[in-house]
Amino acid sequence: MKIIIVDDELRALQLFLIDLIGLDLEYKFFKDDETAVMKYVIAEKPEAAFLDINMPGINGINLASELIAAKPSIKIVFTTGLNLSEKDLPPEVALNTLGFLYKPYDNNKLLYFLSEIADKARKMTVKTFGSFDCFIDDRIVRFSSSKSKELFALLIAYNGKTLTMNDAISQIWPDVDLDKSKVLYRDAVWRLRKTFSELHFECIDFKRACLVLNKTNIVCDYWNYISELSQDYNGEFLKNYDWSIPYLSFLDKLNASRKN
Amino acid sequence: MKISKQKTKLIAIFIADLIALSAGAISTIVVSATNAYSSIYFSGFLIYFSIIALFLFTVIVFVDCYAMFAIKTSTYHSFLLALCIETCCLLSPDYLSLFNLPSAYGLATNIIQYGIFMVFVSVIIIFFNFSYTLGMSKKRKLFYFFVCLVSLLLFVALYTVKWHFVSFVLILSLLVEVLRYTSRNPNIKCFNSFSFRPAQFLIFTLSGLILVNILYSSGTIDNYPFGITSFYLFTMTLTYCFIYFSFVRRTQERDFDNLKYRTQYERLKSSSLQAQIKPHFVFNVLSSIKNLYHTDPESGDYAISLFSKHLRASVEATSSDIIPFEKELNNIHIYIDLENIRRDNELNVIFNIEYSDFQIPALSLQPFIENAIKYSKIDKNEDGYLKISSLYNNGDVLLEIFDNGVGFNPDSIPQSSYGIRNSVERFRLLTGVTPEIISSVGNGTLIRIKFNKASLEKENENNNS
Repeated sequence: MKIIIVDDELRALQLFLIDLIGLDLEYKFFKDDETAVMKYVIAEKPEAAFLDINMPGINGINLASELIAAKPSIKIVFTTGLNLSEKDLPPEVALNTLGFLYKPYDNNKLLYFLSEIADKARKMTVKTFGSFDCFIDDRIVRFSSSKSKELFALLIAYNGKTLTMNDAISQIWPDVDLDKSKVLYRDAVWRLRKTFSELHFECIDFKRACLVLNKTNIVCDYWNYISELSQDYNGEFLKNYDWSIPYLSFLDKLNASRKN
Repeated sequence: MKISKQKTKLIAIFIADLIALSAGAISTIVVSATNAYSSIYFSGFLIYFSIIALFLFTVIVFVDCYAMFAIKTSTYHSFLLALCIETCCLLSPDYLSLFNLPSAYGLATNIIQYGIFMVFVSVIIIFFNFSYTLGMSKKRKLFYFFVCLVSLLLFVALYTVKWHFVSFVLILSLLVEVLRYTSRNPNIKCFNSFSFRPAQFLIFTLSGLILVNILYSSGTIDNYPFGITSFYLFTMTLTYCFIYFSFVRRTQERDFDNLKYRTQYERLKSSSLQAQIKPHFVFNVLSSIKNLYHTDPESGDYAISLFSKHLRASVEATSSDIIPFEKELNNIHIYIDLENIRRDNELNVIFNIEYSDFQIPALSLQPFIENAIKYSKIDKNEDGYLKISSLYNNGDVLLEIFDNGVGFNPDSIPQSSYGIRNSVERFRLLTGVTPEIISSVGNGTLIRIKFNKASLEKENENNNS
C-alpha cells in the first residue's frame, strides 16, 4: 500500500513517521511542492494522500481536487489544525475524503484511517486468561473506568449472547440497591460506548436495557479455547472479577476432559 | 439626583394641569365681568378657528381609531378617550350654537348638561381602567368607581338647585387623590408609563372645559364665553400629538434597547471562548503536562491529546452553536479528565445517561460542572461524587447535575451561588430554558433542567437563523 503525505512542517511529519514505523506500507513525504506531488501521483498511483490544508505554497483542498483528477479512486485525509468538517469541502473532494486528522494527531484515528485505506477491518485481541485486557492494533485499550472494563469482560464471557441490564447488575453490583446500581450500570454503559467510539471500533450493539457483542473482528483466547482453536488455558480466567468463578470451574472441567 | 429630577417633573406637570383646569374659568369670569365677549364671537376668525380645531381633533379621533386596529397594544382607551372628548365638545353650547342648534339647546339644557357630565365621568372611569392602573388593588379601583357613580347621581339630583358643582368638586378631589396615590407607588404601571402624564393633562384640560360649562349652567356667569371650547380642543389636539410623538420616540428607544440586548447576547455567545479557555486553567494544565513528561511520557501524550481536544471544543463552541448532547458529554468528560490529571484524588463522576438523542448549545452544561468541581468540595470527601443525569419521559428531557458536596443557601449570594447564577443565565439566554437550583448547606446542590425536546429544537433553529 502506497500513501503520500504533504505537509510543510517537518515537526508535524516526524511524529507521523514514528506512528508509521512497523506498518506494512510504503510512504513518501512532500513539502508544499505541487509539481513534485503531481509527478509522483501520476507515476506511482498511491492509494491515499494525507494533505495539510494551510500550506504557504498550496492549498490542500485545491491539491486534493487535482489529485482526484489524476487518480479518481485516491482517498484523501486532511491533516489540519483548523476546525473544518466535510461540509466545508467542495462536493467532488468530499466524495473521496475519508475524514480529518486534527493536529496534534490522535493515534487511534490515524490507525483507523489507515485500516480504512487498506480496506482491512481492524482486529481487537482480547486476553481473558489471567487478568483481562484488550488490544487494538497492538495498543492497549484504555477503559474509562474499572467498572466499564468489567462490563466489557462480562460481555466477552457472554460470548455473543444478549446481556440484559438485570443480568449485568446482579453480577457486577450484587450488593448495591437497585436504583443506585441502575445508575452505575448506565454510567458504565455510557463510558463503554464512549471508549469504543473514540477508538472507532464499533463492536457493541447498545439497545435499551441490554447489550449485544458483535464478535466479528474480535479475537479472544477464551472463545478460541472453548471452540478448540487453541489449547493455551493456564488455569486462570478473568481473575479480578468475582462472577468469573462459575466460568473458571467450567474451564477446569473442560481442561480435565481434554487431557483425558 | 434622579429622584429630585423626577419630582420637579411631576410638579411641572401638576402646575400645567392646574393652569389647564383654571384657565377657562378665569378667562370666562374676566370676560363675563368686562362683558366684551359676545361681540367677538361672531367675527370670522373665531368661526374658522372653531371649525379648524374641531376638524383637527376629528382627525385625531380617526388616527386613534386606526391605531386601535393597527397597533394592538391597548390603544382602545386612547380612542375612547378621544371620542368622549369630541362628544363633550360637540355638546357644549359653543358648538351647538355654531352649528345653529339653539332650539335644541334652549329646550333641553339640563339633558345636554347631564349628557356632558355623564361623558365626562365615563372619561374618568376609562382613565382609571387604563392599563395604567395595573398593580392597583381591586378594592381601590372599586372605591374610585363608586365615587364616580355618586358624583354622577349628585349632579342630577342637585342640578335643579344649581348646586351641581359639588359633584364636580368631588370628581376633582378623586382625580387629585389618584395622582397622589400613583406618584407614590412605583409598583403601579402608570408610575413608569410614558403616556400617563400627557393623559392626565388631557383629563385636567377636559375638566377645565366642564368647569366652564358648570359655571354657566349654575348661573355663576351670565354670558357663555363662546369660542372657549375651540381653544380647549386645540390644546387637546396638541396633547395628543405630543403623546404620538413620545410613542414614536419610545418605540425607537425600544428598538435601540433590542439592538443593545442583541449585541450583548452576541457578545455573551462569543465570550464563551474567553469563558472556557480560562488562562489559569490553561497554565495549570500545561504545567501538569510538563511534569508528566518527566515521569510518564505516555501519560503526557495522553494529556496533550486531551488538552488539544478541550481547546478544540472551546474554539468550536464559538462557531457552531448546536451540538449533539453526546458531544457535550464528551467535552465534559475531557474537562474532568484534565482536572483529574492535576489532582491527587480523582473526581468521582457518574454519567447516568439514559437518553442522549437531542441537541443543545455547545458548552451550555459545562459551566455547571466547572462550578460544582470548584465549589462543592466533593474531592475533599471520600464519598463525594458528581452525577450527571439525562432522562426522557414522554417528550420531556430531564437533565440533572447533582453533587453531594457542601451546598449553599440559594438566598444568600456567596461566590459559588454567583457562579451558578451566571451559568443559569447563560443557559437561559442560549436556550430559553431556565434551570432550577435546589441547594441547601450540607445537602449538596442539584441543578435541574427540564424542557420539551421538540420546543428546544425549535428554539435552537430560531437562534441559528
